[in-house]
Amino acid sequence: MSEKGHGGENLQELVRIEAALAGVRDACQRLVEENRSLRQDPSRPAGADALRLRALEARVSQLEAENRDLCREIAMTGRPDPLKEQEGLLANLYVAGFNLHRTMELSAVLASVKEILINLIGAEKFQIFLLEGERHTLLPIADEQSHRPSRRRVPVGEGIAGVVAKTGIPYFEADGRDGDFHNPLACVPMKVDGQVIGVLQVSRLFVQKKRLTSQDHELFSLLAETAGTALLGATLRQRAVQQEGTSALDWPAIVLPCLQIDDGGPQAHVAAGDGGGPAAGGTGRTN
Amino acid sequence: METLNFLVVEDSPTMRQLISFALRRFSDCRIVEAVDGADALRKMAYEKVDVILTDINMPIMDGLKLVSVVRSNATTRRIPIVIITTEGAEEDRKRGLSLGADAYISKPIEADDLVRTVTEVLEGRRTGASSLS
Repeated sequence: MSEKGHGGENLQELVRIEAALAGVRDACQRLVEENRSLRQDPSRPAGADALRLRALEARVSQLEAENRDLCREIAMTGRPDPLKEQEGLLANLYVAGFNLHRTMELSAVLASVKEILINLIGAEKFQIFLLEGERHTLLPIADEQSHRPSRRRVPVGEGIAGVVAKTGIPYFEADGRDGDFHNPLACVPMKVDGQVIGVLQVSRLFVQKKRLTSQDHELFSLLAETAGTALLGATLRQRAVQQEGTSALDWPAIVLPCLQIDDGGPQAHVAAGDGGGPAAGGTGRTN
Repeated sequence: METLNFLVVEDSPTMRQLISFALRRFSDCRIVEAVDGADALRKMAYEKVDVILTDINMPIMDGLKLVSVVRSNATTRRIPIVIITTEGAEEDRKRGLSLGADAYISKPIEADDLVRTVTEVLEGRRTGASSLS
C-alpha cells in the first residue's frame, strides 16, 4: 500500500474519532445540565434530609418484604373467618347451655359449670361461690380441684367477689392470664330472676390462653344468666329429696305433686278442655 | 368423597359435644362417641373408624391404654389417633406419641386447630401410604 493511501485512511479515522468525541461531549453537557437542574429542584432533599429519605426508603422496602411474608403466612394458615368465629361461639354457647340443663343432680350441675370454665373458657384456677345465710357472706362451693374447696368465706361488699355479689355488676381484668384469689381476671354474678345468688371467678388461665376474648365474655354472660338457675334448681331438688326421704330414683314422686298444683291453673283447664296434646293427656293421668 | 368416620373418646359430655361440633366442619363425616377406652373398643368392634380422637384421663380405660391396644391389634393399628391433653400434661403427651399416637391437641380446644390437626394427620397418612406403595 502507498503512503498516500495510508494518509487517507488515517484522516478518515481521525474524522470518525472526532465525531465520536463530539457525541461524548454532548452527552457530558446534557448530564451536567441535568445535574444542575436536579440540584436546583426545591423538592429534592439534600444533606441530612437526603440521608433520612434513604433510611425511610430502606424501611419501606423492609416493611414491604414483611408484608409479603405475612400475606404468605396468612394464606398458609387461613385468614380468621368471622363466620367461622361466629359458628364457634354459637357451638360453645349451645354446648354450655345444653350441659347446664341436662341434669338436676347438684354434683352434675357443678361438674358442668366446672367443665365450661375449664374446657370452653380455659380457666386453670377458679372458684364458685354461693351466697349463704342472711346473704352476708359468699361460701366457696367448688374450685378447679374439687367440690369441697377451702371454706374461705368472702364478706359481701369486700374484695372483688364481694363487690360483684353486692352490685351484681360483672368484673373483667382488661389483660393478662394470671391473677389470684383476691385479684381475679373475671368475676361474674350468678343471678336468678335478677337477684344475685352467687359468684363465679376465674383467677388464672391455661398457658396457651393469653387473655379472655369476646367469646369468653359471651360465655360468662350465659353462665351469669343460667348457671344460677341450674344450681338453685339442683339445690332445691336435693333438699326436696332429703326432706321426702326418697332416693334420686324416686324422682317422679317429687315431680307429680308439682304437676297437680299446675293442673289447678287456668292454662291446664284450657288444655284439658281442648281434649288433645300431651298436656291434656298428662292432666288426665294426674287427676 | 368418602365419608370420614370419627370415634371421639371422652368422659366429659361437654368436651364430646364440642369436639363433635368441630368435626362437623368436615363436609361428609360420621361421628361415634365413646365415654372411655373400653367403650371405644366395644364400638370399634362393629363401627367403621377412620380417625380416633381420645382424651387421656378417663375412668375404666384411659387414653394411653387405648392407644396401646389399638396399635397392638393388626386390624386397627393403622387407624390415625389424635390425643387430647391438657397443657400441663407433657408426660402424657410424650407417652401417647411414643405409644403410637399421630398427633395431639391441647385443651381448651379451638375448632380450627382440631380440624387442621386432623387434616394434617390424614394427609400424612395418605402421603405415607402412597410412598409405601
